[in-house]
This record gives sequence, structure tokens and C-alpha cells, in this order.
Amino acid sequence: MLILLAVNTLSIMLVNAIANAQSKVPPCSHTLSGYVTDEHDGMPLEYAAVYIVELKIGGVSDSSGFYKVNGLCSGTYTVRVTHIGCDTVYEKLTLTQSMISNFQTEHHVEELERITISASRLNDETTTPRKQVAAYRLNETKGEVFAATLRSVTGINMLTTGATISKPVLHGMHSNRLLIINNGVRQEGQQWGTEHAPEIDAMNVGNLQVIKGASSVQYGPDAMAGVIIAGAPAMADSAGVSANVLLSGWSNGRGMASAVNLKGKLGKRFPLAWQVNGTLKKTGDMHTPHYNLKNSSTQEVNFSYALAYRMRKISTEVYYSQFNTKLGILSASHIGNVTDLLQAFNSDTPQVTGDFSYDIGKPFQDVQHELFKTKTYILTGTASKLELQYARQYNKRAEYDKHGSKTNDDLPEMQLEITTHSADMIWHHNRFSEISGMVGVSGFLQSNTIEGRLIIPNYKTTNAGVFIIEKWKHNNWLAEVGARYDFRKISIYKYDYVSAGNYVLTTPEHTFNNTSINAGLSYSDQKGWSFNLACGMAWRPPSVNELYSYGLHHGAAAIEKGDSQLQAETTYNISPELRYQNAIIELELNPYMHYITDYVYRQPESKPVITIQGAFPSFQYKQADALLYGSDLTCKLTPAFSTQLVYTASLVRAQNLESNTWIINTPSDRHALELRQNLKDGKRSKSAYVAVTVSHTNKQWRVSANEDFTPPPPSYALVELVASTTLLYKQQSVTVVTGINNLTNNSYRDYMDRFRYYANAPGRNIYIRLIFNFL
Amino acid sequence: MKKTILNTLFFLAIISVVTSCKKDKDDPENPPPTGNEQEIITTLKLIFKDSANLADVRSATFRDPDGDGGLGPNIFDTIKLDANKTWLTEIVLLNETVNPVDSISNEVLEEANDHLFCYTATVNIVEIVVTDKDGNSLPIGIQSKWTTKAVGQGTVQAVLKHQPGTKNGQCNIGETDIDVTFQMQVQ
Repeated sequence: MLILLAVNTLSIMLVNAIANAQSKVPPCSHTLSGYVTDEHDGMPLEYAAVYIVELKIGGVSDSSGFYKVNGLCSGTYTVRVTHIGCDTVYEKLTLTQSMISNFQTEHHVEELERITISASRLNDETTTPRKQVAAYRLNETKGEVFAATLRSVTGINMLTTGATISKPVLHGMHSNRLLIINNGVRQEGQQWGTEHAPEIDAMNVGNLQVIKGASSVQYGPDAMAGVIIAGAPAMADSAGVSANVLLSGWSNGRGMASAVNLKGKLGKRFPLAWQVNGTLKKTGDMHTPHYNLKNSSTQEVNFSYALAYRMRKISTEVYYSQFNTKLGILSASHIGNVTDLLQAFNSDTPQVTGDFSYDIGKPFQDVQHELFKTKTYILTGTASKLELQYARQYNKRAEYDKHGSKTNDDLPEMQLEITTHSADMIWHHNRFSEISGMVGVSGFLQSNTIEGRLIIPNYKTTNAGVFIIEKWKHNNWLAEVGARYDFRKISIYKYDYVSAGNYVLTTPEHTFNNTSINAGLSYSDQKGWSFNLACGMAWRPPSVNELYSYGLHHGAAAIEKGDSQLQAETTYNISPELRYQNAIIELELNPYMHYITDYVYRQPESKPVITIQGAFPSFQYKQADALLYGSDLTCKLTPAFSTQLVYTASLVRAQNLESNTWIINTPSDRHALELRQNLKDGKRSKSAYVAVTVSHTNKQWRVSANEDFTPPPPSYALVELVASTTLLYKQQSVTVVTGINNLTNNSYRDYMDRFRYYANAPGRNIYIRLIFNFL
Repeated sequence: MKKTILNTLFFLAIISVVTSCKKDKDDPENPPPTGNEQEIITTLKLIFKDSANLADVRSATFRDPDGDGGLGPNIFDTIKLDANKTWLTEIVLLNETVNPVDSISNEVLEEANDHLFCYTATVNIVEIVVTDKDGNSLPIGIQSKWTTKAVGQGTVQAVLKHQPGTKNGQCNIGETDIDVTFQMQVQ
């Protein structure tokens, strides 16, 4: 009902807006906007000034490199782009309507005078749909978990395990099918587990992008759905020291978080840029409208540092980060068997609720992630460079059950440790006439051990790959092709049961190799139309849990059985994107389709498994061809300069083509409508806005029989409010963001929450975030 | 001044690389055979003694020697008791994944205040009364008295609940550690 209303309202407004647009275009309401990035590594450049000489107005790029100049009339202007440390460059632009113009600057000393200006309608040069999370969206979610910072990207959903654990889902795929690149390195933890959240400090993310579609050959196999790219804030590019302090507090869970980012650069003689970052976070038990979620407290302590040194021919950087978190898991969710589960489901209130507390009791997860990275660029001629990178990651995950050890309480019931060494060598060549591209080799070595409850065996993985990507740009057209070959070997070390107390060590080995390919074409014209078409083929070797898991999955109350005969799965993906933009309307339609051969899924078995804890349903990992398809839609209306209405919809369908059934845990249809009012910049304030969002999540009725313990929860709608302003004081500024989630204190359960069997989702939450910038 | 800052930074960098890079001491090539899990219960054994003749001992066993999942139970006896008698019954819990076999019953007894065995039987064949008590005078259920009725067939479900801090003698709370339903013949 609500959706219908929203769609109706929207279509009426659309028609009106189009009519208005044709009859009376406001004469001076064009905007010039775009991103200023480092041509070198694509990192956004903050504080670049874009100035229109004739009008004496301009804008400054934010931390994501985005700038915007409003209120421009049609005409020809001189645009001046300055960035500290670079010579000023003037560029003539003819404006007949709102325009996007991206600027890229090379950062080497010898090239400081050269600023390349490309008036491209596409966000950077790629044919794959790529979405950048705006800086103000990042501000709105500072203090929340990593997956939540991606919420504003249409097509992204969250797969949660109660109120504390959350992982991103793109186009219905997650975990091993959605690659995360953290600071240029493939994030390697225990990402196979649905209750294992990405180990990334969300408060230290300065740059966040989502690549939709399987055609990102640069990053290797597993990128079935796409790639999430997260990066630390940009390094300082001018001498001096600056600081950024975040303070955040929220009501639900009485949580608080603080983050400090200090960065600077030494003088010209010794151009060493440095950055130090530390974050702390603590939140207590959250509550639903009617009861507390006992043991949903979390703690997080993270820090990182970075050093970068840029010389004439070589620039090098070192990055180190450590992420430490302790996550309480809802007490009511640890159950012994199916009888307990059904009992939990049939009671409206969980068995264990209790009063508010910051204490984290059992069960809980204790997770550490460490990343050390070093990267070097070497210029190899005027238009090419060599990139070398080495990274080491160490991830330790300890899980403590509710019913712990009687002999040693500090011993986790399960502990996984994984160490990954990776190396990449990429040679970039920029624009040999109209062609640019890169060639690379990359590889990683990984070893994983498990102690305690054996869910998966110990293993070692070796992966090696070579790839090439070339782009051809001609007038309004951009064509891109890429190919990659990978080889992966997985060596398993496990004991097999012979008789009571008698086990024998077996060491099976698996090898997989395959090629991924992508091709894309994009076109953009001066009238506001742009079109991308990306096709690709990507593959994913089965993960160790799919090959070898053999046992009871506590919390899920199910026995999972791996199949060591599984083959790699392959997706054939096509993803066109159509965009249209004028002063009033911005439309973006991105349908997609994945045809996946040998899609790995859990098939319920007809006979339950008898254990000493009772009968458990059992699931066997199997393969079948599958079809995943859907569409993301964004429609922005700016009827008046400062008012904006944004409608987003994301739909996904996932079918098992062999059994003709729906694939479990696929997000249901989601629609959201946001009304945003931008306020005028004052003498002491800028970028102020208020926004209200209504989002509607449909009931997932596309489910198959016998696959789930309970029917999916009903549809729900949530209202969100947010207001923000940036107050200026001389050189310093403070951005204040305040808002309310779940304004109406709605009681609901989400289909994508694995704890929907046990408890409702959290209720109303009021938050405030203060971001101080000291220059 | 600058030199001091520089030196400090490099020093910090080196220190953190050296000290904070955590070593993974485990060797994936030598896994522990059983995952050294402390809480595995593979075997539940019911031992019955005729109250009128303590030399008459019977037993019934559920045994799943590789734990949950994997292979199913290799012993799952039917309880066979004589009719119209009172049987003194004791439960024995074992972990047979390790050598020597580990007794779990003692651990349950040590935490008697948090544990409760409950029995649900087909009414017309047997009546079961728990005889042992924990420190709070609440039943434990390791020991019980089974009074068989006339000849017949049915089932007996034995459930072990873990109820830390919530134990009140009722069986509908807590986490289930054991849930085994035996076939029973009264002969």
C-alpha cells in the first residue's frame, strides 16, 4: 500500500517536473560538479578549489574528492582548478545545462605542473557501474558497523546476525561471492561464515566505492557479485599538520564512539606524508520497543598508521592497521536443538531479556584483524608506471559458546587463525594515443588453522593470477576489455574417524584454474544521456566450508555437510546501466542478470540427523545452475534548487534452475523515498540539510518449502530523520549530524536477519555525531 | 626539530611493525585429531538395578562415537525392563572421542545447580521419579526411580538442560545438551 502510494506520488511529481522542465527552465540553476582525483592511484583529492573566474564563485572538494558549484547560468566560463602544491590551471567550459566535469591531477614532483582536465559525464573512466558513497553519507553512519556505511548504495542489503553482526549483500550475493578490497588489499578473514562480519574499521573509511557486476578482473576470482572498495582517508598533500576528531553518541545501546585522525606532511626537502588514526567504540545492550536484547553489547579498539614518501621517480607507502572487536551475541539465540528453536520462535519475547548492561557475557566473538601493506610506484617513462605491493594479513577469530568449558573459562570453544601473504605487480600505461590500460600478476599464500569445535579442517591456499585490462576512449565512447587467468591450490589437513579414539590424518588436495573476462562499452552525450553496458564472466572456487564442513552449526540448529567433489562455479553476467540527467531530473536504471553454472547451495535433506542433542535437520552442499536477476533504480527530482526528492528501489530474484525453487536468504523488494531540503550557506555555516526517509521492505514470499524453520516475517516500513550542518570558525570547522532511526519505534523482524527466529530488531535510536576539522 | 619528528615516526613505524605483527604459531599441517573440544558427549548409558535384587543389572546405551554429525549413532538400544518392578536408575555420560574415555557425568554433578535431567515417558508403561537433589534442593536427575507397569511398549525421552542461573526445577527453560528418545519394552 505504502509503495503504491509512494510510486503514485512519485509518478505525478515526475510528470509535473518534466512538464515544468520543458516550459520554464530556471535560467540560472545549472550546477557544475564532479570529482577531483589523483590520476596516479585514483584516490580522491580533498581541498581542491574549483573556481569560476567570471562569477567569482566556486567550490572545494570534500574528502571523497567531490565538488559542486550551484546556481550557474548558461554561458562560457573560465574554470580555475587549484590544488595546493600545483600550478593554477585555467580551462574554458561551455555550460548549456548542469554538467559533470571530473578533474584528475598527477602527483609526481616532475608532473606537478600538469593537470589533466577531462570533461567526462561518466564517473571516472569505467564501463562498469561504480558507485561512490558520498562524504555526507559516510558522516551519517560514523559509529555504525562497516556494512551500514554502504546502506545508501542502491542494490546493497545487509545480512545480519542479531543487532551486532552485519555483512553487506550485493544483488543477493554475499560472503565469498562479494569481494572486499580494504586499502588496496583483498580482505582475507573467515568471510565464508554468514555470522562473520567484515573486519574493517568503519570510522576510518575515507573513500568507499561499490563496483556492481562480475567484471572486475583486476581483483581476482570470487568477485561474483562485484567488489566493495574501502580506503583510509587521503594522505596530506601539503606541508603542515591537520586533525580530524569524531565524537559520536547514540541512544539505543547507550553507545559512544570516538575517532582521531592526525595527518601531515614534512617540508619540501623531505616530502614525507604521515597519518595516524585511532578509534574506540563501546555500546551496551540494545533494545526493541518492548524488551532488551540481552548481551548485544560490543566493543571496538582500532588503530592504523600510514607513511608515504614521494620522490621524482619513485613513491612508496607503508600502511598498518589493527582491528579488534568483541561482539556480544544475543543470549536467547544460543539453543541446543530444534525443540529449543521452535520454543524460541513461538514465544513473542525471548527467554532471556534482562536489564541494560555494557557487559559482554557468553556467547561472544572476539575478532582481531591485522593488515600490513607496502606499495611502491616506479615511473617507467612519461606515461607509464609500475606498481608493486606486498601485504600481510592476520586474522584471529575466537568464538565463545554460552555453555563454555568447565575446566578453563578463558578458552574459546572455537578459534580460527588465518594468515595471508599477498603480492601484486601491475604495470599501468596511460594513453598511448587513445588507449590506456594495465597488465599485472598477483598471488597469495594463505594458511588457516582451527582449534576447538571442528567446523572446517586446517588448510593452505596458494593462488596465482595474471591479468590485462585495456581501455579505448574516443569522443563520447569508451570501450574496455579485460582478461584474467587464475590458478588456485587448496591443501587440506584433517583427521578422519576410524574408531573410538582412533583417527587418521588425511591430506586431500584440490586445484582449480579458470579465466575471467570482461568487456564493456559506454557512451555519454552532451544532452545528459549516458549508457553503460558491461558483460563479464567470473568464477569462484568452492570454499573449504563448502567442501568439508561436517557437523553441527550451533545457532543455526542444523547439520551442514560439505562435498569434497564440488567444482568451481562460474557466472555469466550482463549489467547495462542507463542514466539521464538534467537540472531537474536524474534517473539511473541498472538492471542485471547473473547466469551461474554450478552455483553452490545448501540443500535440505529429507532425513534428520540423530545426535545426542536430538534430531537436527541436515543440509548438504550441492551445485545447480542458478539465475539471479533484478534491477536497481534511482530517481532524483530537484523541483526547486534546494529541495530534492530521491526514490530508490532494489529488486532481486534468485532461482535454482534445476529444482525450480527460490534460493534462500535472498533480500526481498526494497523501496525508499527521501525528501531532502538543503539550506542556504550562512556566514558561519555551510552544507546544511534536513532529510526524512521512508523505506519499505517487502515480505519475502519467494521461499521454498522445507528450507526454513519458520515462514518469513511480514513487510515493514521505517522512518528515518537526519539533519546536518557544518559550522565554520576561521580555518576550523565542525560538522554536526543528528538523526533518528526507526522514528516510530516500530516492532519488526527482517528476513535477512539470522536471529529473526529469536527476537525483534532494535527500536528507535537517536544519534548525534560531531566531526571536528582542525587545519 | 624536523629531524626529531622524523626519527620518532620511523622509530614508531619500526616498533609497531616488529611488535604488533602477531605471529600465527599454529601449523596447519598438524591439526589436533578431535579439535580438543571439551564438551563432547558421545555416549549416554542408562544403568538399571532391580530394587528387590541389586544383582540384577540391565542397561541401555546411545552411542555416537564421532560426535554430532559425521556418522550416526552406532549403538541405540531399546530399554528392556521387567514389568511391575521398581528399578534404581543411574545415567552415565561419556566422551569416547578421546583415549582414555572421559566421564562427563562428574562434570554435570559438579555443576548440579545449573543442570537438570528430565524424563518424559509413555504413561502406561513406566513412572519415573527423580531421586537426587542439588545444593538448592532442586532435582538433578542423574539418579531416578523407574516403576514399571504392565507389559507393553512405548518411549522414554531423556533431556539434559543447562540452566545457569535460571534453574527452578522446570524443564522448559535453558539450553538443551542432551535429547535422546529411547524405545522401551516392558516385558
